[in-house]
Amino acid sequence: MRRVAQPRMNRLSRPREEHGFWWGALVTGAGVLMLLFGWGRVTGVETLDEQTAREWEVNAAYAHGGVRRVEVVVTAPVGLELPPWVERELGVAKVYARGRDGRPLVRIDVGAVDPCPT
Amino acid sequence: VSALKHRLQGAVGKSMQASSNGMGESCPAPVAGGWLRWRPWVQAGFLGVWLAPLGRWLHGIPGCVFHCYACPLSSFGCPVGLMANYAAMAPVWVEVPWLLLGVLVVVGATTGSLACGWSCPFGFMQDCLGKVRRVKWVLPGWTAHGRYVVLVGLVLLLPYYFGRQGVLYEEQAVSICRLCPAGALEAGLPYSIQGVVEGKGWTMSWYKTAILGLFLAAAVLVHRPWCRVLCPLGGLLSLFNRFSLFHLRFNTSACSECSLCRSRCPVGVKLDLDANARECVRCLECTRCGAITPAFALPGGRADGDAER
Repeated sequence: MRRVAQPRMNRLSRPREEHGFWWGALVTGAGVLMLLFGWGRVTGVETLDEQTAREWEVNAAYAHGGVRRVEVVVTAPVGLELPPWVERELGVAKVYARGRDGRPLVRIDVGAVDPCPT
Repeated sequence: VSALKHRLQGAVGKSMQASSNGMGESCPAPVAGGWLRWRPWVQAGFLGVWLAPLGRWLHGIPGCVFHCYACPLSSFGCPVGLMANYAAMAPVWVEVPWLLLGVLVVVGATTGSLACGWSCPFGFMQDCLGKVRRVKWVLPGWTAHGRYVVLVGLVLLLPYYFGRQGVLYEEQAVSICRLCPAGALEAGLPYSIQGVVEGKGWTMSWYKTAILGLFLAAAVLVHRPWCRVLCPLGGLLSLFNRFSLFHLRFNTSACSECSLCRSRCPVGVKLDLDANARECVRCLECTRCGAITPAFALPGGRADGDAER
């Protein structure tokens, strides 16, 4: 192993190593609270069977490719006379659903088993 | 007088160690940290935690090391992959990943980046590859900032940007998971080999294969290249090094200026100047000289690591 050159040390100019207990303990305590809160938390995310998912279920869905867009079948507007082939096409056409706020509707599949989502 | 005496003792000790360690005049012999020979075994033991074929049901719980959840043997979820998924879905549903934050904060605040040096499977693999060639390229210290660029840019902002365009994380053409060498090694490689065996051909993309090859070559030429330059998780955990309960203490009085700490450090940290630097992966190799010691902060304990002050 090669020796690495090192400058002479000046003890007085060396910065003090402040390493107390309380900052570490406080942050650890905050982390434990986050952990416990996250473990029991029910998220606002919907599952495919329209239940709300727990946070660990959302994590598992991310890991297993279980994120699904909600699809809706497009129907012809009422009172509008359309050619039969258009109505037939519309009857099978699917589009991604959006919520009232314009955001896409996405649900998770808690039973997804895709080994490699990407 | 005591300072002169100490310096004289240090110089005598240094010359004695250098002449008796079998490595010529270039490096003094380690005087402490004999327990460090167990580090590879501890790292190998942790593989049993992260590579547990029956542990796939644990994917909902984030791990604290860099390890792809798409690996056929993986147990816990990859914290970086989960972080990127949450960022990508933020425009759709605003969910704070409390479980993920809790794991990272608890691990970081108690041990800092100790997980990088002692339990990360990807770090272990780089340590093994690093033994192929003893002479290594030295990277400048500023390259460590690349970890934060990856964390903010590739893990948080880019998935969020594509998420705002309505692209789900799995469909995003550029993402940390599509570029990650750990994913290429732990998931892309096994599935591609399986594809070849089953006659489906090589399933991993050409650029991911190139990244894997590049990374393997880099790990032979540079000590822990991923950890030093690009690892977003290591960058995050190392932010806790300054105040984590577990930390390193530098005792000026015990230092004989032998340079062993700098010579042993795989990531080029100047430990005599800053024992708890953010670039440190806490492999604890620097503790061999005896002047740097691992410590755990306790209530009422000394805040200052220097015994002489």
